[in-house]
Amino acid sequence: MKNFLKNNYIALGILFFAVLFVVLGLLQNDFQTVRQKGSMICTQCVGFK
Amino acid sequence: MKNKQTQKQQRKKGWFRPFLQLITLGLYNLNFKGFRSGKIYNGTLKGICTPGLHCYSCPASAGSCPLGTLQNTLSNLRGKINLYGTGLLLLFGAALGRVVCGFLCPFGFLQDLLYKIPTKKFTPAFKRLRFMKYAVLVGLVVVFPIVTMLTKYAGEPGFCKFLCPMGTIAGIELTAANSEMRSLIGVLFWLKLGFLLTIILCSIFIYRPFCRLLCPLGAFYGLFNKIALLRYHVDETACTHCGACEKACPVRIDPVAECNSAECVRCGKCKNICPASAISYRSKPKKCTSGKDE
Repeated sequence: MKNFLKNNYIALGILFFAVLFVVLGLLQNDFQTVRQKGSMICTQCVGFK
Repeated sequence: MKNKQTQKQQRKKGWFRPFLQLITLGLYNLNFKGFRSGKIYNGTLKGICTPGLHCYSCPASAGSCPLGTLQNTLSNLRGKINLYGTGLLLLFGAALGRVVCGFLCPFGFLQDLLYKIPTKKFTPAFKRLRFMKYAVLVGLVVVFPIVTMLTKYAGEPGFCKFLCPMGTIAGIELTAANSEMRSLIGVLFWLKLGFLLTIILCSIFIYRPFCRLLCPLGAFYGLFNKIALLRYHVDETACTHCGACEKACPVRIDPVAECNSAECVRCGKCKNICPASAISYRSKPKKCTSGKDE
């Protein structure tokens, strides 16, 4: 366990912030924002006029 | 005889990756009926970002594209920042690095399949050209949406608009299934289609040209290859320095010297071919490591 923490402290630090971002994002309703954006056809992405 | 044995051994060890790629492809495209109706899915799952490159405008797509989400965030910086999408990208990167490219990307899978077509193969190192993907990441994914947001009313996703091959595939699927969409085809669509066909053609002769030269998601995940929880580990006590891994590497890396290079797409060929089983994932701890891992 100690070795795991010692060898992966950078990844674990980033993961901590990543999880924090995800939780804060969920609290500010980002999930619905992503869902709404993803539910519409992005005309530029598919190359339409 | 020995060569045939090695090939057999490699095939035996390498079944898991294509199997997982196939499963991933199925999971990303759970809305099968979209292929027939030409209408995109808008249920709850669309709120989840997939780790690999996958266009959310594809009629079968069940999830959202991580790069599309990031570009939408940057093109709307006047509003709130999408912490959820950014957090998920960091989460995938720190946990898996480019394992996502090797195992969880449908476009990587397509390129893998195309490379299996038996023809003459070329293995260029792309020593300078490989930096293009970082330029794409900074220029089209980060700067372009911000600049267009500042100059126009709404920002535009630069990578999706000009390069993304998954978006072009989504466009083909939409126009094939929905005849009303065909009137929307313009010059940009034909340009993107030409680019997609070029990538497909190159993938037959060169291993994963898009991932190695242009993919901004690969560039982003590559930054995490050295520190990700799941990373390669070379047991120097077991390594006989036979050079088999270097010969097998399709992206021209020396796995013993730089097993966690940002260019490594985690195809696992070096790991599978090693006669001493000296290369492994981090989850199997061994005493000695290479590549500043310990």
